Amino acid sequence: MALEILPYTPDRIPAVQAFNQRLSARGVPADQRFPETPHPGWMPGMELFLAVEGPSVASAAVRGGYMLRRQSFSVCGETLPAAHYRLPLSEGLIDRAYSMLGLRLVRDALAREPRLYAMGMGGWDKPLPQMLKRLGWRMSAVPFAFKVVHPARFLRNIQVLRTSAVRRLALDAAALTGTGWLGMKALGMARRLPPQELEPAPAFGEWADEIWQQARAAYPLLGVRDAHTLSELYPAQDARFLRLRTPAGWALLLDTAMHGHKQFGAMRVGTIVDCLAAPAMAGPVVRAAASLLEQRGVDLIVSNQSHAEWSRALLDAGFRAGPSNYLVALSPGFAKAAGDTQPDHWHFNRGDGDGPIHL
Amino acid sequence: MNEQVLSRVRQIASDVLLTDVTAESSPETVASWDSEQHLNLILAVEEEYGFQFSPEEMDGAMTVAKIAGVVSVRRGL
Repeated sequence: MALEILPYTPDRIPAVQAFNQRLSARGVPADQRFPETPHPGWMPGMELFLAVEGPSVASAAVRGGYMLRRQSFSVCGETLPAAHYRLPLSEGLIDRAYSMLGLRLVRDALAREPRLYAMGMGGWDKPLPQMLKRLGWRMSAVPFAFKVVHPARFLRNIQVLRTSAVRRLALDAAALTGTGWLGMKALGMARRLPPQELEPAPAFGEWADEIWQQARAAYPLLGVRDAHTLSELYPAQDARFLRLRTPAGWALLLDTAMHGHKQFGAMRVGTIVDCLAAPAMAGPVVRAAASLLEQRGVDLIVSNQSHAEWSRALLDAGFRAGPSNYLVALSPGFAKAAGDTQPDHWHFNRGDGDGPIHL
Repeated sequence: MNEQVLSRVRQIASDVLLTDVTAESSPETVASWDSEQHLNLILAVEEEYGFQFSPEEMDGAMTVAKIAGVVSVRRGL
């Protein structure tokens, strides 16, 4: 078997479709499919690669692939190129003859960009983080925090708690009788913030560049968040994105009405996707962001923030820490550049990696 | 192929896969030889012999004997 890893070109689309069909037929979960276009989504800097087997385009089979999202990072004050290693998929999931492909894919990506990072990945027990750990990548979890705004709707919809008929009945009863609200209130989970007069900004402009210049030196590792980059990541014409500008910094928010979501059911979920300010100013930005989402009527607010000050600001604003399956992994080359800096001083959130997907 | 190398690679494979293996053992014949254990096996051999498999070598290294063959070639044996 001779495999080549090549850039994804449109003439390979039928072979990618056949690859996805083989995965589907063998019961691989639906979120593990390779894009059936070489130009997926809105994220800038994307490059897609395929592992192909066979002498000609017409007869070659696709056996896997991966995506790179090229970005610039500020690393200990220096701007360096890096890339997000995304969605590596291999026929090895369904055919042991291709069991070496996962390793080939990641080594191919490292040859193209030694400073790689991976994010999310679904938890420590999943194959990708386990492989990256064995390959010497530096791994950590990005803390998760949540704030219940409407306890009754939370209790009726939170899927992780509604795992049996008895539990569902108990949670529905708590939601109906108000005992759930009282319990959460007692625990401080449903504490509302004082309303503020807040208005989302229409776009990222020069003001975002000023915040970037003021804040970047305070973080030993963060993806570039200047106005140009932010405008590509969160385009002004995309009505989903709420850009909150405050005197201290900014936050990028989502307010999404879920329907049959595997975790959130039919809740209206607010997300503090991304944010930037000097760490000492995280508190006012988080309070403003949460207040805006509360005023808009969300049922629940969630956020993943790696930096200790942003995590603390969330807790101070009435959030609770939850278990995090949202991991960040730095390749050895990227970890070397980051030196002995600690993950709770890095600035990673849902604006990195895949961006705000599934939210 | 160098018999000493084959013997050592067999031992490494047995340790990683937690079962006895022969020179002809492969992912098709050993139940525990899944993609995760294949990765562990290749990394263990790389660590033992101090080199990294090339993409072409990885493509071909699908039995214990073929893995040992790569090691033998790399060591000039």
